[in-house]
Amino acid sequence: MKKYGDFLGYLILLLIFFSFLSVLIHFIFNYVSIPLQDLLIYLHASCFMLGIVYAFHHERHVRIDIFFQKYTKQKQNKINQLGNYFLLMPFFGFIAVISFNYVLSSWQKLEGSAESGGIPFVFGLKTLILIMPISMLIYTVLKMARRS
Amino acid sequence: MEAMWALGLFVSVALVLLIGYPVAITLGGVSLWFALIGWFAGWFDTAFLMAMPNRVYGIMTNITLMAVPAFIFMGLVLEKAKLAQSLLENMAALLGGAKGGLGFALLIVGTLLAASTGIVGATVVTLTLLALPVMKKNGYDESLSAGTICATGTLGQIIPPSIVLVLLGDVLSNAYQQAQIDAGIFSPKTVSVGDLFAGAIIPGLILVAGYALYWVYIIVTKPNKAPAVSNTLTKPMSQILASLLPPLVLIVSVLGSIISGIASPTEAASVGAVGALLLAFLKKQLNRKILMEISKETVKVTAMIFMILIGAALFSLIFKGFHGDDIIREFLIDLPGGRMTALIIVMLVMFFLGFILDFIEITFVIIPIVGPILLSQGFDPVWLGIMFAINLQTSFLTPPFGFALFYLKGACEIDSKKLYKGVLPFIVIQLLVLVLLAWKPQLTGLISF
Repeated sequence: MKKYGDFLGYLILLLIFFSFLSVLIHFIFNYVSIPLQDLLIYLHASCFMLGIVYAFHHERHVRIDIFFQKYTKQKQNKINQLGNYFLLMPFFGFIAVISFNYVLSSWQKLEGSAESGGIPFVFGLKTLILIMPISMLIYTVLKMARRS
Repeated sequence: MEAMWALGLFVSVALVLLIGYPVAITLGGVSLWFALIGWFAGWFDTAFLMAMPNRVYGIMTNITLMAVPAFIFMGLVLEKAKLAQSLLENMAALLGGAKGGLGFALLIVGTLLAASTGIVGATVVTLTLLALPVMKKNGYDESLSAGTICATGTLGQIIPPSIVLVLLGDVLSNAYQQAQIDAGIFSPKTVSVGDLFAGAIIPGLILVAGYALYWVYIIVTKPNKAPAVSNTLTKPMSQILASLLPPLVLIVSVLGSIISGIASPTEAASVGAVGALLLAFLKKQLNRKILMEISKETVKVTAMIFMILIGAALFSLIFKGFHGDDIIREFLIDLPGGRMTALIIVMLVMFFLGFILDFIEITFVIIPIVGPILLSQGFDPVWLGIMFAINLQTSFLTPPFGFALFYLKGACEIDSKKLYKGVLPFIVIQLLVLVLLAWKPQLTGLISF
């Protein structure tokens, strides 16, 4: 998970770097590069779609902890476990299932960019809609398997 | 009957949220169970669910929201560069000799910090750790100091460039377009993040001025609560100015380029991020390890925000599937007293929701539902956005559930009663500013481009 975090960290640095580069190009040459704009969208979407499981690993998804923080460790674990079964799995399972055809049809026509001259890899970008929930499901199953 | 389903969904989500499982997943999960039950009972049309993949794709390719990671990154860099510490030391050296001087130093630094980092929790905690012990040692009233820290710490939501206003700008512009399309206007006017930034400046400064006036009042009537510091460090003026200049330049250039329309918020945010890196580098507070820490932290915060957005998207699809938006519209439109009553009810609901929900959640869950309704009644979108923002800021200050109070209590030992007494005057100031804005809505339109 640490290497994964480093990888995502580099993505953010690349995102900042290329955004800055695109601003420079915009001002100096008064030119907006469409592939560069597309690249920014790809980087940004990858950062958070792939980062959701990373933030989950580090317990960074906000909770309303008015009561939660006062509970005992066992009770907190119980809540997490029930939440994993009844909220997390249905939610991410649903996103994966409902998005499957959506992503598949994008692959079937190897969907390109909506802008002319953009990066012709929209089917890859859309695949993130599947990777995100599946990564959360696998992570949760592995974690619960390890605990029991 | 449909009203019961929509209401039941809303109440159940709120109740399950209180259990403490992560908000984003709870939002999506509970809504999904409702959709399932509603479907079996024949009250829910599953066609609404088919829009979900496209919603997620819309979130992924949303250009406005691309400013979010860059602003978070900028805030974190400034925090790690120990900007607050040197600012506070210098301002205290400059003003500490006067009566109440430390209080004004705190106000100035808090405002600058709020504007540059825009992260409420971090600002409150930093100010608490840095300023509270110094003020206590010099005989400042603890209750007064703590109240000031909470109030200035939450200013980060209002004073641009703030992440909250970026999120709000995106949601409001969608709501505004929808309101106009519903009214049959097919070339709708837009509202941008830049408009909100420009509109927030004057109200933000009025708030700060209000806080400052309160301090003047304290100095005149209860001078023993805010004494002059006798043995202040004297620092050369040039050094003080040198420490004030970089953050000021950063804020002004980021804001200026957005408001003047030279750069989009996303562009300005990336320039701000690089500027902050440069600043940290010059202060010799930057190395490879810290840089990686900052960028990984940015990933976590960004992912958290977008996960809530995805959870809230599913919630609002299902809420609409139960015709929840129509029910709320009917309720809000037929009120005696017209649109003002509707606004007051929405503001009150938001205020109380602010006790349990964060700004991000309220922005993504509540505003898409009530926004188009209020905007179709003819409220100005920028004004409405600022009213929402100040309202929520007040909510975060209000005992016993205000977020800012929790952050402060997490960072120091303080008696709750003292803290509550300390924030009370600031809550009154907030409410006065809200009334002022309601009375003179043009205050949000003074700066525009």
